Amino acid sequence: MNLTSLLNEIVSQVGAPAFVRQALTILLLSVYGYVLLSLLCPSFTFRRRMLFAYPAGLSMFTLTSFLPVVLSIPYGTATAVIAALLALAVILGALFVRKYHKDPRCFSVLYDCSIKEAVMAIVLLDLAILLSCSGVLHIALSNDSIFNYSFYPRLIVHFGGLRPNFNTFLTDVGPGAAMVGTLPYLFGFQETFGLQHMLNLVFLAIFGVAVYEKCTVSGKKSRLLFAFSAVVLLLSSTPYLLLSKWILSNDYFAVFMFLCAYLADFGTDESRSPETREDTLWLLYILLAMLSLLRIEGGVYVILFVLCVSVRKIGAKSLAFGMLLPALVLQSLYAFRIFCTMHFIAPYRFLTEGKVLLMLAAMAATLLYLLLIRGRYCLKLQDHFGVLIMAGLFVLNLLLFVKDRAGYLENMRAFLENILRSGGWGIFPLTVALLFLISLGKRFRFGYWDLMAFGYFLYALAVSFMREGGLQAGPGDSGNRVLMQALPLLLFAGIIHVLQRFGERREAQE
Amino acid sequence: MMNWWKKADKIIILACVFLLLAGANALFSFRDLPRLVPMTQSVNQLPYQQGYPEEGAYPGALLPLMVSGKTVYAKNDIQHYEFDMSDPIAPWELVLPKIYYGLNSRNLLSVMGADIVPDDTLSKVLITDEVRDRCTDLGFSNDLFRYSCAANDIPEEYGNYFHYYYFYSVNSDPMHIYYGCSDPKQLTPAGDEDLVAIWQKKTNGFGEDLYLFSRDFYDREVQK
Repeated sequence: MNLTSLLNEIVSQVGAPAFVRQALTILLLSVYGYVLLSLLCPSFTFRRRMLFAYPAGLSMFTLTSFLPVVLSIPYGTATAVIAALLALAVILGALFVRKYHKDPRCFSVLYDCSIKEAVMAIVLLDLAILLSCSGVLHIALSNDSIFNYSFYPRLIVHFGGLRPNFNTFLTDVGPGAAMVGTLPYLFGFQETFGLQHMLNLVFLAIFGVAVYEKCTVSGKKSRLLFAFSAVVLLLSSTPYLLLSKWILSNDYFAVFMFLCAYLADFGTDESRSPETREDTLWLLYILLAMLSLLRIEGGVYVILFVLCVSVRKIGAKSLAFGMLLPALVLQSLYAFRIFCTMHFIAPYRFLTEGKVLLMLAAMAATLLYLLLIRGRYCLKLQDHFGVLIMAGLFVLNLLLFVKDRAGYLENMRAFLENILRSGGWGIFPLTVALLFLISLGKRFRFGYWDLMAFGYFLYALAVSFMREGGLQAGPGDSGNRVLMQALPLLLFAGIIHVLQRFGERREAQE
Repeated sequence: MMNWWKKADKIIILACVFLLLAGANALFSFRDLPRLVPMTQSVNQLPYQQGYPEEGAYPGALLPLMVSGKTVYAKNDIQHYEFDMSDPIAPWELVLPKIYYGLNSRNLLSVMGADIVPDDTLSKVLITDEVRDRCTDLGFSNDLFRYSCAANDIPEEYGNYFHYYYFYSVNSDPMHIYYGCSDPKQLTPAGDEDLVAIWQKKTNGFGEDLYLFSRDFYDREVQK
């Protein structure tokens, strides 16, 4: 009996049901996200709610399923569904108490769209789901794909939670990515490829919308063409194709990092209405909490993210309680669960007790800075806080260099080797460099998106250094993939500069 | 020229530039991507990709579909050992075969949905080369066994997959998964026949291979 006949037999039995279940799961996550956004962000247009429905639904599922796992509540399909519905019920209840008396129409936004819009949206959503789950889009698999993001989530569902025997899975795999990985085992399909492809399709649409919004000159058709060309540019680039097709957490992190940066930009844009800004920030809080869990170093990135956003006109409470505190709580819960309630010995692990204490201390210190110092003391310094962030990151890298010169130089060598030759970056670095070069002029300013992109780059170099073994040359090296996560930010920053150079723009306060 | 430039819709020109850059990027992507990392289309909705890279990638990914919901008879040769964990040598004693192959593999199949039944009659079974040649090779699966420690109940798991890496990947030869059945349907989710799982030391080389048989195949071909 040959393998082909066995595979054909298996595929004939499970292929169609797996396809249907994965498609339905994505649809339900999108519906869930749509309902969530309709309740939480009523000022969003119908199109905006549809655009962010899937990322919002996936994030909320991840957060609500993470909590029972980390609180040692037996985890399974029923728990995951109940937790997600409970969260929705709590939000609904809070809104009912808070808003109903002011405006009973706030719940009618759920169906606030024309029939034509609704039909178009449903058709596009279904087409995207079908394409994502069809298997037509390529994927790349590696050891980490199968074991960290498939086998480990299977273990979580089988055992109903976390166990000490999971060992370095606990300290090396982002818990959020693991929770996304449990979806196949909760709802009866075999892999997460469709989930990732759907996220990529939605991300490309949002990227296009973001470019369109920044392009404030010219007519609608010109802007549409420009936004389309920007999406095609991103889609054609080697590192994006590598990242988006590789079944790992890097793609999720890159997408959510861009979405959070975009929402923070949008939500602090004073040309938008206060309601729109407030609602945008609510969505940002959810997606940022998700981002903090996607990679094991996610909590550290949230610190940088919040500091970068703090250069904008935004209240300290939003930064502290909306963005930083949820990440701090989630990281604390996870650290407590794996380091205090379990005992495991692992000769090598990325996350250690020392690193987690350092991370939590840094998050707490940042929280205190936001609440007690920002906007009150050293105001002149705070006016140049973006410069301070970049200087701080340079100094951090310099300290790492001084600590271990040979190691740091080896890292830089591998980094350049990856960028220029063997790391899967293609001609993307040249493309971005060209965008920046042609944008140089009197109006060139180091702005919010540059801070997000280049700040992340310096942060990623530092984080890679803190990993044992440092950066290696090659596309598969995790340090190289962590750097690649910045590519949507880098490209968008370049596009912003191009628009600033060659057109008038309506600028958000930098 | 300058007047034209001033009047031209620069956004359209920029869009054209972007599309040209996209074309250049696409050329490099088409050239470089296949050699950077193998890619495949997963039209079969499975994480197992036949012929990827050469012997089939991650055959362990097929195991859940083959054993889930079925009764699987396995060797009953697990021995329990007590270790003094203050002894730094203790973790390396996990090299003992009865722990690696027996416990790791049995618990692994259990996680994949099998109902494992330890059977004394299987403990001394020997799979001959002749029988092996009548089986189908799914591919080698050293990594699967390397991570199987996560399915164990050993208190205070004192190894991890990097530790096991040296045993399963550096020291071992390729550890294959073979299967034998009368009808492929027996090893699919729709099949409800009992199965037999045997781990056997390699004839030449270091490590063990996993053999998965349908009960009738085992009775006919192995236990003659």
